Amino acid sequence: MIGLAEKRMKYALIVPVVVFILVVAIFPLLFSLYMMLSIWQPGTGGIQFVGFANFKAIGQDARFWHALWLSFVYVAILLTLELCLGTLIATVLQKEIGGKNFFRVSYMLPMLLSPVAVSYIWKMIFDYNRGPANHFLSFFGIQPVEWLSGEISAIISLVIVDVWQWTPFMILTILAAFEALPEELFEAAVVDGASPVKIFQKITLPLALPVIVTIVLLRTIDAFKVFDTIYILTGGGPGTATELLNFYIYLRGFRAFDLGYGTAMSWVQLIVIIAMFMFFIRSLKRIGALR
Amino acid sequence: MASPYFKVQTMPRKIGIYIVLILWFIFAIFPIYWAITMSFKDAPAVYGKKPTYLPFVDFKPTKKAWMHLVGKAVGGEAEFIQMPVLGEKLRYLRNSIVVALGSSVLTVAFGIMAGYGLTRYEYKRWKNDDISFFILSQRMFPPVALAMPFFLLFTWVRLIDRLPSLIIVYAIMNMPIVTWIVKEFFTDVPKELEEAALVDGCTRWKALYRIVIPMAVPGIAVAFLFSFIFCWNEFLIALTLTFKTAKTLPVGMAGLTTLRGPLYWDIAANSLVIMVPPLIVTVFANKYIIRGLALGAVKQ
Repeated sequence: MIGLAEKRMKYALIVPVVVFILVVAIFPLLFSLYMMLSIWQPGTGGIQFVGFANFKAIGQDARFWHALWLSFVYVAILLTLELCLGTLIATVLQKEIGGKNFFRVSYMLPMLLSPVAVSYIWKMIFDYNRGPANHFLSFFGIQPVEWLSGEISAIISLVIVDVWQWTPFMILTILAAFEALPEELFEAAVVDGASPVKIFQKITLPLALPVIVTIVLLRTIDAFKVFDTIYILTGGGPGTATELLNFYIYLRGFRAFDLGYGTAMSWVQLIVIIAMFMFFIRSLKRIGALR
Repeated sequence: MASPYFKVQTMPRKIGIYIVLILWFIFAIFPIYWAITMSFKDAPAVYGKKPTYLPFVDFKPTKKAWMHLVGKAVGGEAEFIQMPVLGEKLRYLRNSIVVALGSSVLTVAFGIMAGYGLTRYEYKRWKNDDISFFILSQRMFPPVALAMPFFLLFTWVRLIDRLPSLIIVYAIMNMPIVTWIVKEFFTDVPKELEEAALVDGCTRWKALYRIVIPMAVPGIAVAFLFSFIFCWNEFLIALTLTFKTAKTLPVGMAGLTTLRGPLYWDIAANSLVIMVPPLIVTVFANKYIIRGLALGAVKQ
C-alpha cells in the first residue's frame, strides 16, 4: 500500500513540472526550428518552407554582422568593467568596517529596479542642456557631451547604465564567494606575515576563481540579452551605432514582421554564444584555472 | 571574523576604503535621488541654466507631477490628459500585479514540487541530474528567441494580449532559478523529521505541507521575491505579447514619450511608481535577496 502511494507521489511531484516545460517551452522551441527554415510574413499566405535561405541571407546581411560584432565589443567592455569594479568593491567590503551592511544593502538597490524606469532616469541625467552628467563634466572643464546622439558616446552611455545596474550583482556574488572561504587560511597567512596584497593574490583570488568564472558566465549570458535600455535610451541609434544583436533581431522580427528571418538570427546568436562558452571554459581548464 | 586580515589597521587604509565605498554609494544612489527630486520640480526648475539639485535651496518643490499621476490637473493647466503609465482605471498597474503574483505563485508551486521530488526521491528512468539540467537549461535561451514562437503560439490559441500568456511565459523563464533555490533549501531540511511523521501515519503530502514547507519558508520567500521582481520588471516579452488590454507597467511607460513631450517631472514620478515594489523589497527583505544571490552563485 505505502509503496504504491509513495510511487504515485514520486511521479505526481515531477511529472507536472516536466510536462509544463515540455508543452510551454519545448514546443515553441521546436516550432522555432521550423520557423528558421521558413519565411513567414503577414499577408503572404502562411508559412513557406524555404530551407536554408534565411541563413544564406544572414551571411550577406552586413547589418547582422555589424550587430554581432557590436554585441561582442559591448559585452567585453561591460564585463571587464563590472568584474574589476565588482572585485575591488567586494574586496573592500570583505573588511570589518562600520556601516558595512548599510553599504551592502544600498549597493543592491539598482539591480532590482525596472530597467525601463531606470533608462528613463538616465535619459534625464544624460540630457544635453539640463542633465547633471554634463554639469558634472563642466566642473573639470570638459565640454558638454552629446551623450545619446554621438556614435561612440551612445555606446558609452549604455555601458554606464549597465555598469550602474549590474555591478551590484558582481559585488554581492563575489563578496559571497569571498565570505565562503575558510577563515583559518587567512589567519595562517597573517601569522606567516603575508601582506594583504599577497593574501589577495595567493589566497582570495585563486580560491574564489571557480565561483567568479561562473558569475562571469551568468553575467555574459544576461549581457547579451540587453534590450530594454537600448529601446528606451537610443532606439539603436544614431544610425545603427547601438544596434546590438538582440535589438536588431527584435526590429526584424517584430517591426518588419520577418519572423522566420528573426528566428534564424536568434539561433545563430545562440550557437555563437554557446560556442564561445565552450571555447572559454576549455581554455580556462587548460590553463588550470578551473577544475 | 576573528582573523586580523579582516581588520583595517592603519588610518590611511581606512580612509581609502571609505573613499571607494562612498564614491560608489554616490554613483549608485544619485540616479534615484535625481528621480525623486525631479518628480517635485516644474518647468522653471528644470529648464533653467543649470541643473538644480537641492529642494528648497535650488528650487521650490511642487506636487504637480504627483497630482498628474493620479489624474488631476493642477490649477491653471489646460485640458489635461491622464498620464497613461498606470493605464485607464489603473489597468496597467492591475495587470502588473496580477501577472507578477500569478506567475510567481505558479512558479513557486511547481518549484516546491520539483524541488521536493528531486531531493527526496531517485528517478531511475530519467536520473535526477538530467531533470535538474533540463529545468536549468531553460535559462539559456535569449527571450527574443522565445518571443517569436510564443507570439505565433498564443495567436493561435487566442491568448495573445491576455494576461495568462504572460503568466505562463514568465513561469517558464523563472522556473530554473526558483527550482534551484527551493531545492537548495529543501536539502537542508533533515529527512528524519518527515520520516518520523510518516511513521506516525502522516501522508507524504501532509508531511510536505506541515513540516518541510514551514521549515523552508525563508527559501521559498527568496524564490518568490526573485520571481516577483523579475515579472514586475520584464519588458521584452510583455512588449511583444501585449498591445492594449494586457499591457504591464513597463510597457505602458515605454509608450510615454511618444504621446507627450518630455515632461521630465511626470516621467520621474512614473518611474518612481514602477520602482516601489523593488524599493520595498530592498528595505525590508534585503537579507533574502543577498542570501539568494549567494546561493545562486556560490553553491554550484
